[in-house]
Amino acid sequence: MAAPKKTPDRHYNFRGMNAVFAWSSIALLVTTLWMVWDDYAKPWKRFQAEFRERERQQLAAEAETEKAKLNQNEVARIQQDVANEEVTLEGKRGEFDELEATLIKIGKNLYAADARSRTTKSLLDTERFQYDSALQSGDEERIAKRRAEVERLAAKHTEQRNELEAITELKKSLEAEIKNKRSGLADAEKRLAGLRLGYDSLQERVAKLDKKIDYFLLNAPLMDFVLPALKIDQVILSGLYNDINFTDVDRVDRCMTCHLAATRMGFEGEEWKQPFRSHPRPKLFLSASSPHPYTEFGCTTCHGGLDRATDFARAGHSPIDDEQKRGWIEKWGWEKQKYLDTPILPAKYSEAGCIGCHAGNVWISGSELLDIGRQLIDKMGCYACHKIGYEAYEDLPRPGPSLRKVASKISPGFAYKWISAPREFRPTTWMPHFFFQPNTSSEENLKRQEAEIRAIVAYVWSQSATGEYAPAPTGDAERGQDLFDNVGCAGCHIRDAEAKRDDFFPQINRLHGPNLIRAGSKVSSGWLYAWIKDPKQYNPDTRMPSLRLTDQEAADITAYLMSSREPAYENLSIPEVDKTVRDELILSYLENNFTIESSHAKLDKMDEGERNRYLGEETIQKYGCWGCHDLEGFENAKPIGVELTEEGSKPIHQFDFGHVHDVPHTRRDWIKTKLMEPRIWDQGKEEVKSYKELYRMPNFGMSEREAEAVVANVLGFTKAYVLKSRRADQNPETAAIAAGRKLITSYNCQGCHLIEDQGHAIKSVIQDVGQLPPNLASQGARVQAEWLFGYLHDPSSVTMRPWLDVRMPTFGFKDAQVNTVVSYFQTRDKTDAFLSTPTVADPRHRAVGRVTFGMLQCAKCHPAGPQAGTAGVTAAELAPSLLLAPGRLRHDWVPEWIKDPQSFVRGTNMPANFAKMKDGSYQSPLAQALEAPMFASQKAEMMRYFDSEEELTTFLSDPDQVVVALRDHIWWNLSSN
Amino acid sequence: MEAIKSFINTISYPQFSFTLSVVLFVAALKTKKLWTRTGGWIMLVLVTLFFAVGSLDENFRSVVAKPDNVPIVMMIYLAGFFWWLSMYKAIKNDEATESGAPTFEKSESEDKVFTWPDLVFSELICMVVLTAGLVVWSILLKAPLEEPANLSVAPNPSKAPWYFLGLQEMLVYFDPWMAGVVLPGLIVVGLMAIPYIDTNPKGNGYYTFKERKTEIVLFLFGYLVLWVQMIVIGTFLRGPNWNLFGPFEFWDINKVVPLVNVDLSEIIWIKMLGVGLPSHWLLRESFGILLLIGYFIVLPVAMAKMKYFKRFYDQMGSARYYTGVLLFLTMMLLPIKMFARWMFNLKYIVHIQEFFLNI
Repeated sequence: MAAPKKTPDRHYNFRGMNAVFAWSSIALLVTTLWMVWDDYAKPWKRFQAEFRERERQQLAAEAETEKAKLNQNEVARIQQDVANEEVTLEGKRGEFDELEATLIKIGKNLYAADARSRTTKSLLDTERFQYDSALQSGDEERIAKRRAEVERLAAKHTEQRNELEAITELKKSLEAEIKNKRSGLADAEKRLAGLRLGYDSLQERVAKLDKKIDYFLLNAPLMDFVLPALKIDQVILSGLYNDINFTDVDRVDRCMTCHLAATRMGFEGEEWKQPFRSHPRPKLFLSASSPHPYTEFGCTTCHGGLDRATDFARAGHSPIDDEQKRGWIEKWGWEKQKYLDTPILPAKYSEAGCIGCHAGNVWISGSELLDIGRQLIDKMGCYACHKIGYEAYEDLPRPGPSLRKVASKISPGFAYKWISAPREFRPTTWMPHFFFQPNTSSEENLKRQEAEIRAIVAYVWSQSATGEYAPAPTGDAERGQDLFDNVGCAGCHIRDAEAKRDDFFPQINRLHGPNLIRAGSKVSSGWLYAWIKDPKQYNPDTRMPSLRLTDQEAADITAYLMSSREPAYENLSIPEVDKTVRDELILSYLENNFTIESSHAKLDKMDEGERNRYLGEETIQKYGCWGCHDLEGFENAKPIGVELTEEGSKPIHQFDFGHVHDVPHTRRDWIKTKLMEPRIWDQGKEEVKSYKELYRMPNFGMSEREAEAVVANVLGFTKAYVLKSRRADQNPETAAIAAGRKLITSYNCQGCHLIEDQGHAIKSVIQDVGQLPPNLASQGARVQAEWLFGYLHDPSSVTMRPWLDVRMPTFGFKDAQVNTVVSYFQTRDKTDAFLSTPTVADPRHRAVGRVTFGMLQCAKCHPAGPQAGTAGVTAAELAPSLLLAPGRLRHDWVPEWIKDPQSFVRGTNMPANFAKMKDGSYQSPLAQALEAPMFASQKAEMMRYFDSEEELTTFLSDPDQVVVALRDHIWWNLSSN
Repeated sequence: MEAIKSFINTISYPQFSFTLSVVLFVAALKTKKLWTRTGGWIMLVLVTLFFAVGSLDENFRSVVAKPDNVPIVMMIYLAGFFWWLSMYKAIKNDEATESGAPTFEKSESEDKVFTWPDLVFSELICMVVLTAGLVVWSILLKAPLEEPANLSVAPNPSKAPWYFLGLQEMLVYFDPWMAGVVLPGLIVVGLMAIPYIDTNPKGNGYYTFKERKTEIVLFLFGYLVLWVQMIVIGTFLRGPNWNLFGPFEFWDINKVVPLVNVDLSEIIWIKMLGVGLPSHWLLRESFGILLLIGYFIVLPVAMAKMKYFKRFYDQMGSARYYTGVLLFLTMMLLPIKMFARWMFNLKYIVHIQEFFLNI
């Protein structure tokens, strides 16, 4: 083929140009289609289509099961009925045809009549307006004309309306006639439908999910803007916002676009995997009747993640480990969202999301990890160095012991060894290791630390009051052990050399006080004796209560505790301080404030003692010892750690990962690693950084699960993204409960008592259930506020359960603290604070009460006097003396309690004498029992107060009457005896 | 390979790369073989090879393939292509003129073609291809969105849009008042003034290099060596804390470089004369002020007397000449200051904090 001739008036070769144009046009077409597809093929559509199909299959399977359940004979019989009726009707065909023809004719007439009537009505309305205008004009002639017209039209309209109503009536009667004639068939059909109801409704739902032509049309690319079946689902959450720095934007959660089953039940089975699983615990979350319906709280409020995202990666899903990450990359195209500050919390830490609204609730009911984490923060004293700006962590006592009189308690040598490595002496201790950590292990740094510890001791001793204690009287260690286990020490203390802290997870109440091993190597017997007899004489602010030990008891316990010694530890030698290193350290502090020359001059002027004390003070500043220990001279010092109030929102680039490359760059991994290895970010930097720049967070020896429990909390310390009014901790009731719980945790009430189903830690020592301190369920409803107030101030004032060895200790609470506890119990149990004095009961109630009291054998377990029990009754069955009741119990509570003890305290030994019926009412057995011959005398006694036997029976059959009578007996008869 | 990478990293530091680029710029203009089809292909292949092989390196790839930076890679190709195209045509024309033949544009302008289809059709094709390209681009590269803006967290590095990166780079060497107001203002004014200063009719309507050597070299120096190169540096080589990183260097946020810059007054009064800084600003900055007077006033006059520049003076007349020279000298202030920074750690020539006047 010859080359195309170039025409003179064309600059380009147009065959070539046409080809280029053709190809580029095709390219544009293809790219445009690609663009449409790219916009259309969103991953969530795949999920929706898949879920729809699977749901259809499930429903179809259910429909089949339902069908199999149908009674085929019954169906066939009714179908036959339907067929018969149809035949009967067919016989009357002519009749029906005639009726229906008439109906059609009437229908036409009705339409015409209706139209006429409407027309006249609108003309009438117009004429009325004209008449009104005429009246205003005052033109008599016009008025008369208009009035006449209005009257004429009104009459016409009435006439037409009558006609219309007549036709309507006629039509109705005709229809009724037809319906009546067909009623046999309709009835049979109805019966059939009733029988097949379950199956039919399932079939209907399956049919809705069937993919018919309209499904494909409505969901096709470029067509899916009309009414698509696959569409983004969302909830708009007002008051729960995204903080985008310059403004707050309401959240719009779209998670349910893919997590289609999350808000529905019935998708819990193994075969349903994410994203198609129902949300767990529907009673607590998401369902409309739960406290957190999803239409109000959404998903990202708790879980985190990008609310509006509809793409797996962009939503901010975060894998918990490398394996999951690889799986996600492969399966969902996961990638790290560098710019998303709030990725989704991995399932393990999802409880962190609770804190956004519940920061002030000290125990978050239903949480698994959070509460133990909060207790760990409390025990380890994280809040002492790191400000945590939530109610639960504010105004807490210092976690460590006061050092104001430490010189009278331990020796400086012991202090040196203890500070060097507290867990060496007591493996369960909460006191962390500040020294000899991986980032301070060079020879030079070892010497520096030796000097620092020595200096700390020197400073503390220079400030501490001294005192001598007379040696303890001789005691019996064996008796001491018995007392230790049973009198109540074991609620807070253990004495077990083998114990490891992690073994107590998550029940850490028993580690509230120190593990009392090796006391003999630590303190003098005199000090210990004085301390356990009255802890407040040593430290007025201590939380350690007095158990009101007698001198002998105290001596016995002292003997028992002092018997544990560790001679090897006592003999450990303390290294000599390298004075050059120490002086260099001192200089480095001096040079912060003075010139090099005057620093040297100042150092030269100091004697040995001054040098140590100066370095001690600086070192205490450096490590923030006063956070945990009351220390003279540091009363108002500010905590040294980073504030953690918004740690969970801290941008990831503000976390220093140092040269550590195998820790994933996420907040949770950083925090967890930091907790377990606090100095790890200095790895490879010990030589580069100056000694003072090295990280100094101490090592708590945390186990992985301890660390994770703490992480779950810290991740929840986020910037507020919930309006205050929507937070759960913002009403007075929750505040009162939170304050009580805080105090209860702080004083470890649950070491002995069961409160809100947690506690009874002492159970591991006291085997006999009857010897356990009481369960404090419904305590607020049970006892009078004034009584509780007095009892908490001085538990020795009343002995309720004389058979118990364990004692309620005297805490020496302040009034405010006792008020907090009282109002906690009352708010929790929804009781009012004060109660009027009951009026003296009538003789009839008192008499019935006396008799039934005997019949029900109440006195068997409730001793009437201060004696320790009745023969044949175990301690577990004994109950407080009822003589105390009027002064102690709430009179409105007692009848309710007698009626149904289990509803107040689950598992109580108090027998339920009144059977609870299905409808919630109670039944009294007494009326029937009274018929037995053995109760003849009782009957006679009661009959004195009743006019007829019938009346007595009615009274005794009514549980509400009987329990009140019992209460009245306790109140008015027992106490007056 | 590592050695090559580290060599490239080293020469990427502006004291080397800038010097090198000036040398290469001059050398390129003198190498005629470069401006042929073969030369163009070789350059294209070399540059592409650099990007391709470089992309094997993770650090290089993460910077070059970032959706924000992809257009700058394209800009390198575009700037190179148009430079080559103009030089290619100019040199062909120059050769034709030398042998007495008409320029390409001249001979082409003899023929007339219709707007339709020649112009409109080719424009249509361009439109179609460009649209297709933009669609593909928008599908493949996601919009580089980041987290919501936060007053208390500045992104690090904080980069201006690419077309301002030249200005941002100037901020390294000049006071914001100079780099952000005076110099950009003069750039705009200078560009507008070009037609009034450069009245040389040669080169109108056709490509030529020989007939407009000085003008072309001056413009290309300002455009390619200063402006484009600074955008490239700002895009690819400026990392966290505005520190300079070689193309194969990890952007380590902890990188520390010494900041020990000193003012001219300190160099002269303290280092050279060994006396303290005078307290009055006029005396203290007198050397700098004199230097600037010499640079902006004495030098133009002296240049007018020099043989090379005299012909411009004669051709242009004094008004045009002085305006042009002042603009030229202002432009040259940038490379001069850059070299002074690298050689003497010079911070400011004149530093009068009393009136916030720093040059």
